[in-house]
Amino acid sequence: MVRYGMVIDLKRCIGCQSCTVTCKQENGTPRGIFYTKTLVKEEGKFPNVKRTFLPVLCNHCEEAVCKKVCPTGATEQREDGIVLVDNEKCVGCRACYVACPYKNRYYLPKDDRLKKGYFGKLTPFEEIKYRNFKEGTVVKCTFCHERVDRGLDPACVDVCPTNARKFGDLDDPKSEVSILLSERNHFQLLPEMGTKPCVYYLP
Amino acid sequence: MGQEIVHKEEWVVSACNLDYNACGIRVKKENGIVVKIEGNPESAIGKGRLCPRGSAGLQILYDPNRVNKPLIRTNPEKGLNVDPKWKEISWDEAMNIIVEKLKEIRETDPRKLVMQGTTTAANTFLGMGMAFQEAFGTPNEFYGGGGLHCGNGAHLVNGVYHASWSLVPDFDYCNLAIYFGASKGHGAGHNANSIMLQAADARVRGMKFIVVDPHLGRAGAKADKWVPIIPGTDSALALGMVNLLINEFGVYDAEYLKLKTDAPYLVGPDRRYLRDRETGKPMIWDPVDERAKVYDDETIRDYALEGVYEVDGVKCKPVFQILKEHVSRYTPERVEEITTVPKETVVELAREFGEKAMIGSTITIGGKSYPYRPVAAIYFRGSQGHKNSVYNCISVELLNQIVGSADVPGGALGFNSVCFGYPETGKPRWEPKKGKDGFMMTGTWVVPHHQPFPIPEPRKPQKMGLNDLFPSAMHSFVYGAPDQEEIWQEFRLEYRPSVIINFGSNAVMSVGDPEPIAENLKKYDFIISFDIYLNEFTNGFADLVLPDACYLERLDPSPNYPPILNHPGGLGKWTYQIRQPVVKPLHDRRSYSEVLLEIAERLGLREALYETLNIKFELEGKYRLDPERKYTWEEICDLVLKNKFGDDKGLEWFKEHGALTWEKKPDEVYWRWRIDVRVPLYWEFLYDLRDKARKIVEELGARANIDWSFYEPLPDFKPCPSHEMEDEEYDLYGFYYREIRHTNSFTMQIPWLDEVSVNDPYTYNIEIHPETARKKGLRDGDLVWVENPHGSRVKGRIRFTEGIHPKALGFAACAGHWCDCQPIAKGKGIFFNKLLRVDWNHVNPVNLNLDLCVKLKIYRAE
Amino acid sequence: MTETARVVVKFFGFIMDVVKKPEIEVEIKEECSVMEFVHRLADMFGDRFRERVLTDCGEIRDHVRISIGKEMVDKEDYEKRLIKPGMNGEAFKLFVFSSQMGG
Ligand code: SF4
Ligand code: SF4
Ligand code: SF4
Ligand code: SF4
Repeated sequence: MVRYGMVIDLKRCIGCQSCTVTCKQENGTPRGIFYTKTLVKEEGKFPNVKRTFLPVLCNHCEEAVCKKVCPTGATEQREDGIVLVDNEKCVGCRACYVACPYKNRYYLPKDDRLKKGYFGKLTPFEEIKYRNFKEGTVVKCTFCHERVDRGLDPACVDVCPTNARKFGDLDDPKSEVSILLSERNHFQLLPEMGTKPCVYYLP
Repeated sequence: MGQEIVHKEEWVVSACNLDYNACGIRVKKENGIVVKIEGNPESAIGKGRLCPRGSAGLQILYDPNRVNKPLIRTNPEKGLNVDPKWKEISWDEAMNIIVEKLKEIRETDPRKLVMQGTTTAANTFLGMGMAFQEAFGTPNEFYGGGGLHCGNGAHLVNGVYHASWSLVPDFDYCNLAIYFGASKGHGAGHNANSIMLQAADARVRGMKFIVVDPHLGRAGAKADKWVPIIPGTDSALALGMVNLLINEFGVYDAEYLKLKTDAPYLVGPDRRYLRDRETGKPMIWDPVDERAKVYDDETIRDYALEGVYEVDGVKCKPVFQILKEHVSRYTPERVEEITTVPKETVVELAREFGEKAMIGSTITIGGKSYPYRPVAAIYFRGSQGHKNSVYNCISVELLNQIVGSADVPGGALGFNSVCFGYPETGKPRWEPKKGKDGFMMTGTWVVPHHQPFPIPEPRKPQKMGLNDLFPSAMHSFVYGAPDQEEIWQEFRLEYRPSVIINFGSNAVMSVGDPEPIAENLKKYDFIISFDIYLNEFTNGFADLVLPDACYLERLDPSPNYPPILNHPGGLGKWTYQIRQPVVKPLHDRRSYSEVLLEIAERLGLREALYETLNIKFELEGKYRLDPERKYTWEEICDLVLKNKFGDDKGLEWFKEHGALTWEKKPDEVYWRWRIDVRVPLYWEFLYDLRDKARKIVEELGARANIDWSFYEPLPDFKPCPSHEMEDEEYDLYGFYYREIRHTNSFTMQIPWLDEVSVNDPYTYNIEIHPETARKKGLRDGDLVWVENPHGSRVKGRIRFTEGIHPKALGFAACAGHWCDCQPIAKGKGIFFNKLLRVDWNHVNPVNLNLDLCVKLKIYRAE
Repeated sequence: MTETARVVVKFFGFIMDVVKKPEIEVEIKEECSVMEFVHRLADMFGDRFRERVLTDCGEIRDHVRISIGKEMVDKEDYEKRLIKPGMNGEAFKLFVFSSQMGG
């Protein structure tokens, strides 16, 4: 069985947000929607201060609580673990959004952003991309399943200038992600929530 | 999910241009619409990855705020906030106007033309822009903020020491890199994207990073240690480390110093080299034969580095001896006083640098043995952006020189100083060579005909910026000086510039205080501006705006040439690539290069332009442009490529393949010991420069108050005006830093970048230490004014961080657009440059580099 | 060799404000080196030309380039390369670059 996951090396990440921007480019997400972004945290006192960068995205959890609470079956999980929202079925109740402990889902509000785009009127790029969006539904990271199905890495993995993000099959002990997890210390976000996230971090 | 049937999917290989690095890209089109830009994995430039700017580029293509038609100003009034009342005209009308204006000055005095550009697109105007300038016959170019806010001083010093534009640690083998105001590998500057990966690999490998900087920033965040410092005092810290290394720990690479530098050259009591009467060559002391010999005498058995010797009755000392004495003043205590770096830290830094240098060790790479010095001291914008620009850079560089880590495995590498060429044609090819006094001359340089060494002879100013009188200056503050006319009168400039051809630069925002710049710009007769967006410069002062093609609509035959500017350094591969139109220029947009070609044709400058292009692009034999016939831009690009790579690798080949990649050899990267060149620790030639320049200044009777003490051969800490500011009200040092998400200011109009900038705690805010703020009764997020002692002030929000020196305020990039023509960028971030004074007192007297730190007071707005 | 001949001299670049004419003809009686020829031009055009093209010690400045017809003359060959009467219509081309730095 294939179980897709991501391993993010925090030693490499410099918080540049190229992943954030490229995800927006790949998916054409509307204004204010970020399937991924990198958080900045500062600790310590001058001059012994540490600033760390933490990229976050949907964890494509093994125990996807978002899926359990979805009343219409819009949130589905593929065999390989990728969690997707079918916006034909989504009624915008936002139960999933409330249930997700990571808040990595976005509600696409009923406003003018799908009509006006970023510039006040849609660009040819936005006209193509916005066909995939429906206002009043919930959207989130798709692990770039269309790319993955074609044998490519997700866009944010492909672009990362520091090679901080790796994607692969967690069930295959020979995959790069599995090897990294066996070689280096790692953690998941909020493991206590029992969601079994498939995004891992190397400190 | 709305499934769209894709009729036609197409990929085009090209090069990015969101800054000057021109990383390889591949661009996807669906039914002719650009839908995705990715890195080109076939290219060594970017290695298939993109920085955030490169990832956001496609929003430029379809931005409805782009200029799409030629525009003529109908409001004769000019000024910072004037509505130009643009009127659309045809290209034909526009060309007629341009040709008429240019014909007039070409016939009367071609010097009146100023070519102005932006560093962002350096790799475009380095080709056609400069060739046009030379063909027209004007000495005047001004690269927007580029000249004043680029690496001016660092480039010169890198050129002298490494035959390259800039410097990186050898990420493959280095074990300790100390950065002085540099962010190499953390997202900004040269090879920004490429070296982020190299730096990350080095971190994972265990290379130690120490960052000396007034703020933590991105480099500091990833460093093992951050050493906060008062802005502009880098030289004091570096000289303090040099002092400890040679006087306290006795750690230096004697062999390197003897054979690769002027350390053994004898200096007399007149502080000049002792020269051989006959040959004029510098002399050294051979302690075995106990006599002085010229430095390249084949009978030399050893070189004295220390001591006092008598030659023909003259007492003299080797440079190294003088350096030892010179740096002894930089005790850890004194360094702490100047820099606020604790004296224990100074000692620790020096000790670690010395220990990790592993002097005497060697390493085998590719079957060959090289000296191994896995330490590097790196300087860039931060250290060089001060009145003490030249000395700050030299001081840091001395660390590399003392331990012999220049261009050897593990050390500080100039990038791509040597190239053996594409194996099949042996082109392009360059390597440093020996010049006067045995010193290195670069093998190639970004701007031709003006190498860092030897520095050309100063002459009576012909350039409006006086930078031929101060010939190590790349650019000049005179453009924005409030007393510009007085300066020109004093220096007897024979003409006044009257026409500008601008290429994308927003000179109103990118130089300094905009008020005097505005007054200066009003004096021009006609300003032509190629732009993708209107901006504060065009709206305020341009007479004619031409809709330029953006990087996705343009053909450039050599975006990464010469590679000392923007090709990744260190081991790896070489790539030569082109930039080609991914789509035909939309609307009435036209590419700058094509338009200039046509202008030259209509001005009757064909022969001149072709000849300068022949020289610029090094066209030889049958590839030379022949003035008997007329070429299109495409044909010229084809010849440029074939000339280098052979008849089968012309434009067609490159359009299809995009990038030509081949292996780099270790001997191209680690060349220091293979090539017989030395570098100066003691810049004796500054005396010649000073004497000649001073003589001219005196002859002209100019009253300019130039501090000639900056021309002493050994570096010193010299205070910026901000260090000497006594008024206690202005108690904080303002400085700006390059932000990873922006290139100068034009990227702020890109919505995706704007969004991530707004979400970032610092990009559009002022960094302040919480204690500093509290003492002034300020809270996190407060709206404040910051004001300089001359009454200029700017407004912004403060953001608390422990990652800034309590005596400093940090500002990102060149923000603060106010014009409606860039609605996304408008009102975002802080217009720091407004606080900068652009005058004699704030420039380095050797390279005219503008001082970018300023004393400020801060108070709540509202 | 006493035939007089005319050498076509073309000027390019940052010298146009001094020479005014992009092209002149210079009469020479016997062959001379490129270096000597440039000094002759300097005598013809005066100090402003000299300053632009030659250093204080009379050397051709680094940012001056010279070609004869289609062929660039190497810096090292300024003393050796000869300007001959009847250069077969090959023009002597003098480029003065403005010695830029930048970026
Ligand atoms: S692109 Fe890579 S380095 Fe940049 S923020 Fe994302 S994960 Fe971090
Ligand atoms: S991160 Fe949230 S949205 Fe994603 S699978 Fe887990 S619970 Fe669901
Ligand atoms: S996997 Fe794809 S959708 Fe998810 S964050 Fe990365 S780029 Fe965005
Ligand atoms: S470094 Fe420059 S050229 Fe490379 S991707 Fe970023 S913006 Fe583009």
